[in-house]
Amino acid sequence: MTASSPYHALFARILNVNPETQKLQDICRSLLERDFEGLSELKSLAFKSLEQGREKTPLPLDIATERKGEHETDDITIGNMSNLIEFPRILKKEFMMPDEIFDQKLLKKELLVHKKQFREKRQSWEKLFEQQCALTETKQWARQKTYILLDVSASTGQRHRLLLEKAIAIGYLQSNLKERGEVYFRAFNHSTGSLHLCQSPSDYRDLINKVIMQAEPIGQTNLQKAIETAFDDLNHHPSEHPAEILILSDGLSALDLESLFSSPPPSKIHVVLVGGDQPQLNDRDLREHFNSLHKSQISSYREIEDPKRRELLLSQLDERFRDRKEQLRSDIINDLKSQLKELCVRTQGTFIHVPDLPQELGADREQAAQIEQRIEEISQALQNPQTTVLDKEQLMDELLALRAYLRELSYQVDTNNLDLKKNFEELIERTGELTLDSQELQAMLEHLELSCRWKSNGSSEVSIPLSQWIKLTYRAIKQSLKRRSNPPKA
Amino acid sequence: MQIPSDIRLHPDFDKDCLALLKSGDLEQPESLVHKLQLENETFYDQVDHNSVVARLNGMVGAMGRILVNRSELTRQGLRALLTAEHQFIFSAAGVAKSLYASQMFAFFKNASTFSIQFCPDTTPDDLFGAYDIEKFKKGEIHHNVEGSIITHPFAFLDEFMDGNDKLLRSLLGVLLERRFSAGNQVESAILHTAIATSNYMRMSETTEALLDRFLYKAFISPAKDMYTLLRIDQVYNNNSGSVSAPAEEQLIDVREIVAMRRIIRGRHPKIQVHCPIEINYLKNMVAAAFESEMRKYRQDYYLSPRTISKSNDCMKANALLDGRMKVNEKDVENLYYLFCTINEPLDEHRTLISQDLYKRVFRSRIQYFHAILNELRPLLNTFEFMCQAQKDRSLLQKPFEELAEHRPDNQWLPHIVESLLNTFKTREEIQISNQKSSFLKLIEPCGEKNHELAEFKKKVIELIEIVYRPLS
Repeated sequence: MTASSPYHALFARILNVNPETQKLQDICRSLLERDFEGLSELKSLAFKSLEQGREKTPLPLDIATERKGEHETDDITIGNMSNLIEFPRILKKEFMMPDEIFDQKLLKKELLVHKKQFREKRQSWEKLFEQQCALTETKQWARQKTYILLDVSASTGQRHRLLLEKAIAIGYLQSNLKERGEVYFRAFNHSTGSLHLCQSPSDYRDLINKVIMQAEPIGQTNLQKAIETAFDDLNHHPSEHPAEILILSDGLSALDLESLFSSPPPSKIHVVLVGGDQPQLNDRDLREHFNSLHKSQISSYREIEDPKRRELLLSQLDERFRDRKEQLRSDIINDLKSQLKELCVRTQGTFIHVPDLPQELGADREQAAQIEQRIEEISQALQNPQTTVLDKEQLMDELLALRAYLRELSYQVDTNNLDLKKNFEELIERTGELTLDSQELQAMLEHLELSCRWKSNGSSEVSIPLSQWIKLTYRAIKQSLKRRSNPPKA
Repeated sequence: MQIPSDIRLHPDFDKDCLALLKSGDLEQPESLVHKLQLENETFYDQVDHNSVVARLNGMVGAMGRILVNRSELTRQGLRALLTAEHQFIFSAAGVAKSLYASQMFAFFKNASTFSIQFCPDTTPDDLFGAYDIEKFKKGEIHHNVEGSIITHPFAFLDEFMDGNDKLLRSLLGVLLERRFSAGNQVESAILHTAIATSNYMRMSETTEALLDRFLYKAFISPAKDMYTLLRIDQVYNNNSGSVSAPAEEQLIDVREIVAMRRIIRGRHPKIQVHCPIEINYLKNMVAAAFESEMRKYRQDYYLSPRTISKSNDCMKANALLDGRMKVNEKDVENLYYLFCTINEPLDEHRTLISQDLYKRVFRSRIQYFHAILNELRPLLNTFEFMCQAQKDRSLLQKPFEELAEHRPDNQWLPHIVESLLNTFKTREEIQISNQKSSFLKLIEPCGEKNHELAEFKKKVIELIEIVYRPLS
């Protein structure tokens, strides 16, 4: 069942539908409705499909797939007879066989006959290679090589930054059909996470659902190490086609560009700076920067022989430092940003600075309208007899997620906006009608299994039906209460 | 009587023994058969593999004096001969494909070559022999296989694509299984290696299946540069484009090549080529990466598990030709002879050829392999030992010192144990023992930063659980 919302279509690969998934779509929409410098580049980089309103284009029919062509010709060829009717077309030399053998072969239809029928296409090797080597759209997609570095440091937990990064990452992958090529992914904070390499649809599905969507914010930021690791990974998996790296980060940190570019970079690098956490700069950092700007002046002052004059000039310099602390802080931040921009410029990539979203996004009418539309679509789909059981299960999951999300949104509604609050409450009620009265949901719960996993020196896992688990837990609680009320006599 | 196929390779078979066996005059034909089999076995056990390798390598130079720019093709052909596989060569007309095949087989003595040029009216009788009239009169369909492809160790199949589908389908079983079956008649074929050529491609399900039977494939692109044309002129003026008889000392007995195949397949009682498990891992990594890279040029490119398994034979052939009894990384690099269609152009500009792409993939993968080897080694050593223990549970009860001693029933076990002990020694904190906990501690840090290794570790842990599970 296709959804009318383009955001829903863009994030359709996220299978685990929960309130966070809904929020992801809303955050994406909030961002793209704001006006900021870099908006058009962001849309071009990661949200093309929203602009063009296109769904995935079907694969073109490549010449290489039209291999088993046959064509009718006027040529006469020789083959085994397929029917006794072809008797008049038997080759003359077959009649030279001894009668017994001839008869046997005739019965088995193994005699050779002239044929005026379809025959396989014959082509020269040059022609075949010309077809096979031709560049097609499918090959172009297959040759894409994409690397995503996702910052999951603790600061990305603020202001929905991590969700924004996830939305941009998934939008970038989906809009550019990156799944048809190779996708590399690492999350990073002060260290780099494991490398996930996707070369098949199932790998890609796992990347979106089990890796990107499950990422949680923790730790600090070491962008230099993350980029070096990405370069190493790409060097270990080189191909004829250059890769594109997409870096999503909220932190400004110093980069050693000369070290990174000591050998030719393997790829085009795009950087999306989300929010832009300012680095923690202490006096020592500012002093170092100030000294580097006035290096020659400081060394010439130190060479002055007269100690009084030397002290006077150095103290004037100190005073200038104290006066310019804020300016220095701003200079350092601009330098760090320039480094990131330089990273992109040198590799012909794009640098985009996305502003922070407000901590409380609030709820608005458009959200309510979109959710209402989605609820109706789900309701129709559930009533449609052609909807399969698995699809119904998925729709139920989405409905429950929408219900939880609606509750969250209703708390965010401005208390003065009673109409909007009422609207959300009606929507919550509607989801209640669809879920709590639903026989499908009851059947799902009955068959739901709860998995318990524990580790000894390996891993062991037990799965039991949820209903069984509820019964066992209820029984255990009942027995525990009974023991408490009737303690054993001494 | 049914003649066992292997005795046909004996040099006396064709001139003396065949007539005797067919005449039915022998009182005890089984004793003649047994004698020939015994002589063959003695011959195989006495073959000097170093001498055979030297002569095989000499073929490259000798062929180079007769054919221009065919050294890669010849090297590929050597691997086909050593591994008893087939080679398929395709190109436009007039690039000396037939001369190449004939000249290759001319280096072998006591072996005849079955040659046939296919055409649309070629019948199975042309390949497998005509019907035996006398038996036919008694109602039995029987091909007289003497002199057919079944009774020759080498075959040259010219204009392969001209044969009709039914004929080519009947050839499938002979090429792959060395077995001809038609009705009640089942014959073992002594076919060792076939070289097939074609000037054009004919697309059908049968031709696709057949091409899959030819593990070694090459495309010859006619060179038109002045230097090559002049060299061709010189060579032609020397031998007029005909097969040149090699010197006596260059000849190789067909049984010698069969003996080499037995060494590669691990059937020689004393001589074996060892392939360390790390090399197997590298080979599989390179194969997977190459397949993935090839799909960017050939959408439906597919490396079957059969081909990847058979690459073990090719690696051992590479090692033998390089004078070694142990496979190393260089032999993985030379697997392009198997995985690639030599000289096949891949890109739209025809500048990238198949083996160049393979070599680039290899170079990148080997860097990565070296980077992870320290983390990988404990996993591989544990995996290897567990596979042995799964076959023989008593290994878990014996101390490593005892297992490291030579055993006639498992000559690779001491190597496996030695590698495992070396790995244990790098972790001083672990007590060296064949207890389950020792192995789990050994592999615990592996895969912490590498998702691929983490997945492999999970499988190894499952294997450990299976091996240590008490037998019910």
